[in-house]
Amino acid sequence: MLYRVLPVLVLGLTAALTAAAIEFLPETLYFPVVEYATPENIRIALFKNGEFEQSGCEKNAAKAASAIRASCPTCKVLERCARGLEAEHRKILSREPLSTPSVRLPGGKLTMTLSTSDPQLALGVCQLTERQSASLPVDQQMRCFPALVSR
Amino acid sequence: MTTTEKLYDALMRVPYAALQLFFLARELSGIRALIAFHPYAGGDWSFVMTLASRVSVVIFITVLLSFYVSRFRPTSKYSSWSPKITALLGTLFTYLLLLTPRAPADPFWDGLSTVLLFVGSTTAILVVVDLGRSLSIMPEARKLVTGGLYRRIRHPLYLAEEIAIIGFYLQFRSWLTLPILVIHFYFQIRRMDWEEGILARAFPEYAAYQQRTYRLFPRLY
Repeated sequence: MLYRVLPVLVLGLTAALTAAAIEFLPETLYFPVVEYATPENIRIALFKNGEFEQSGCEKNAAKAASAIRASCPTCKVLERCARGLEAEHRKILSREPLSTPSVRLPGGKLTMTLSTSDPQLALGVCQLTERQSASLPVDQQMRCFPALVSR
Repeated sequence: MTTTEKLYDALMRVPYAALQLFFLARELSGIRALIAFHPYAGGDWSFVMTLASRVSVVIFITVLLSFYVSRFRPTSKYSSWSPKITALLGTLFTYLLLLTPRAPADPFWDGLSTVLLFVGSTTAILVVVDLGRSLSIMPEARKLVTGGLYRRIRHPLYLAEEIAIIGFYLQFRSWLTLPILVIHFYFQIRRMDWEEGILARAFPEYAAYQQRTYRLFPRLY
């Protein structure tokens, strides 16, 4: 009896713990988020990987925000650290299609969403970002994903 | 057993248990880092496989730790250091793998690793159910177990452990870490020699049991 039940139990335990890690571990992490609007009224939100400590997250968010402020002094930049992942945040970091164009680093280390009243403009900025990063090392090359496309 | 003996036995379990707890904490932190780097799995099965392989390592270490903490006291053991050092090296060598960098995630190797860790851990649990609390790290005699998975082979726990450890190695799979695996195998074989020696000394019926069983693989070895 035990010889039959135990493999099922161990398999079930592995699956349950894996699912629990995916579901609950993000809640223990801090995620840097930087949002800014350009003078052309394009709203860009930048999402980075999780950090173990809030201080590390704040440092990471501040670093990204200051880089944006340096390249766009007229942009209004807001940085924050999110504890855990809200449903929308999860979707942005996943491979699911989004309603706006998005740009990603390989492996999803960084995801940027672009929204504006003119969808073509948002897509244009997205594609421009991809082209501009093409000369960078492979791990820094960004890829543009149009709206409603699996990423 | 006197209180002093009980206390000594409990204290002797502390260092190895602490080491296992250290690696357990390290693995759990590694899983958290993996999630931090890849916080949403949604349909990414290669990532799920990588995560499952890491979870299997945690289950395997937890199984070993719980067996070790709950085992009986030995009734017979070697007084010399050589068997003890062999046993310690056989056990500890694989932990060196955990201190080396893991190979990049790969769905095939991570999937195979999960399967081997699953087979190894499950078999190890079944063996320990047969073994009861007679589990040893050092070559020591507690109680002779010849039933269940011990009916045909004398070291099913080693076999289970080695299946899991090969699975574990697949997460590292480099030429740098291969010698760790080979040296570990060497010490495990030496450990079996010592273990059979002490069991033969403690239990007269062990010689007959040796005659009718294989060491690890029925009809092969």
